[in-house]
Amino acid sequence: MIKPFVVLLFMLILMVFSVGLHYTNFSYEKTTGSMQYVTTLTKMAPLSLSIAYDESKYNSTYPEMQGLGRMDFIYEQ
Amino acid sequence: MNSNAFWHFLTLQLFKERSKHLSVIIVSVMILFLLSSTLFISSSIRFSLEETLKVQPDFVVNRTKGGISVPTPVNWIDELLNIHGISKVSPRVYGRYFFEAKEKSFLVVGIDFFEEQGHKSLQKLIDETELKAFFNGNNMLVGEGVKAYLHAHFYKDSYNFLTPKGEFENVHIFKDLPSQSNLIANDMMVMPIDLARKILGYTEDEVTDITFNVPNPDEWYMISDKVSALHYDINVVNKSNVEKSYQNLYNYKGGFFLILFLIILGTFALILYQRYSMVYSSERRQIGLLRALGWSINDVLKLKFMETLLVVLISFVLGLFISYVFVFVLGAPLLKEIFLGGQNLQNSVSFIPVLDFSVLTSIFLLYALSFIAAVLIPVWRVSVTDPKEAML
Repeated sequence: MIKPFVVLLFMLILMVFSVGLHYTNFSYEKTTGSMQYVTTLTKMAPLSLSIAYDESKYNSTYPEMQGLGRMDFIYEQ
Repeated sequence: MNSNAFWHFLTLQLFKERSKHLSVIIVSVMILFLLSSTLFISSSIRFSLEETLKVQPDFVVNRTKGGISVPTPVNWIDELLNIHGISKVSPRVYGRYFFEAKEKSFLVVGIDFFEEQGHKSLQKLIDETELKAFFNGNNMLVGEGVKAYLHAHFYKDSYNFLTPKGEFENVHIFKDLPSQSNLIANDMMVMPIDLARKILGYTEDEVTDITFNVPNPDEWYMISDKVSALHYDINVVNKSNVEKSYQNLYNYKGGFFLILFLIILGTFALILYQRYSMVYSSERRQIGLLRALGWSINDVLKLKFMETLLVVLISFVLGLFISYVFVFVLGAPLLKEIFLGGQNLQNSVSFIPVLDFSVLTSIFLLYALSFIAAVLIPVWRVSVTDPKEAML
């Protein structure tokens, strides 16, 4: 193997390693814990969508589909 | 052929023709980056919401009229408490408050802080010493997005809500909710339940809906039937409905990107196939030259296979690395707006890293197989022809 390829290989391994390191060291408990406190407090977990006031977040007729842009209401799952 | 010599020749050739490979790698990285970023965002949001599901109430009931939700009578709480097997019945008062001047809206949530569960959760968010100050007067906790927005519009300490009765209600901004909860609480204003009633225009005997738990999961359907039989205009939603919605959340958008990926991948494979099959292409001459030098068909195929595999692996690792950093370190600027929108408040959400290895393997196989096939089939067709003919 030529030297530039070895350097490239080393860089790729470093990338994979850094992703693995970030993935394993991420504080999952702190983040999910914060969300769970807010959910326990409010008894709801509405996704904080940044959409216009008259645009519906959810489609009440077909909950599995995206909202159709009408101003309607459904339990905020 | 000697293994070391083969690898030396392979890597040497890879770097000699780097401009040719670089264009292929750039296009591949772009395709993989876009698809994996989309999948990373959707799986992260789904994971976060599923985590919150563990602490959400089992059932929610509300009153409907003509399919539209209307205020629920508070005396339904007593009716629910009379059903054996139901526990933790609590009212919820919430609604969107429209800040008309700037066409922005906030989610006002009223909490009964003197209820045991609510009080415990509040203690986790606010220090014991601050609790007394919080209960002393009109105070609210706001999401990071709300705080930033109000701050930018000169509401640094408090905000004047205009109630449906036309009166102003001044509420002090006590503290902001943790930034880690931005995914659900960015546009939230949490305040005492009576204050929320005033702001949203609910009377004393009205709530938005009522939540309750049924500790025994085997009783869920029976309880659901019993509650549905209480009133003709009652709407009952249980946690499994919500769970189903979370599982399907963004499937449509993820699927849309997957279809785009397949179309682009197909086009890309066709372009590669065309390039290697061209009669006067440099690849064709090179293969003819190697064959004339005594390389067997197997050697040529092995060389091209390894060369393509390296290009595929480099592109895959680079594409995934860039999308991982883009989504989980930088917070997916621009792309997150496809999922979370960008018309209301700014949301600086940090996504929880979630890697679905089965999806990543599928992407790799789809991408690698089509890529390798698009190169190896024309290479094999050239290598089986006479070297003289191939070099023409």
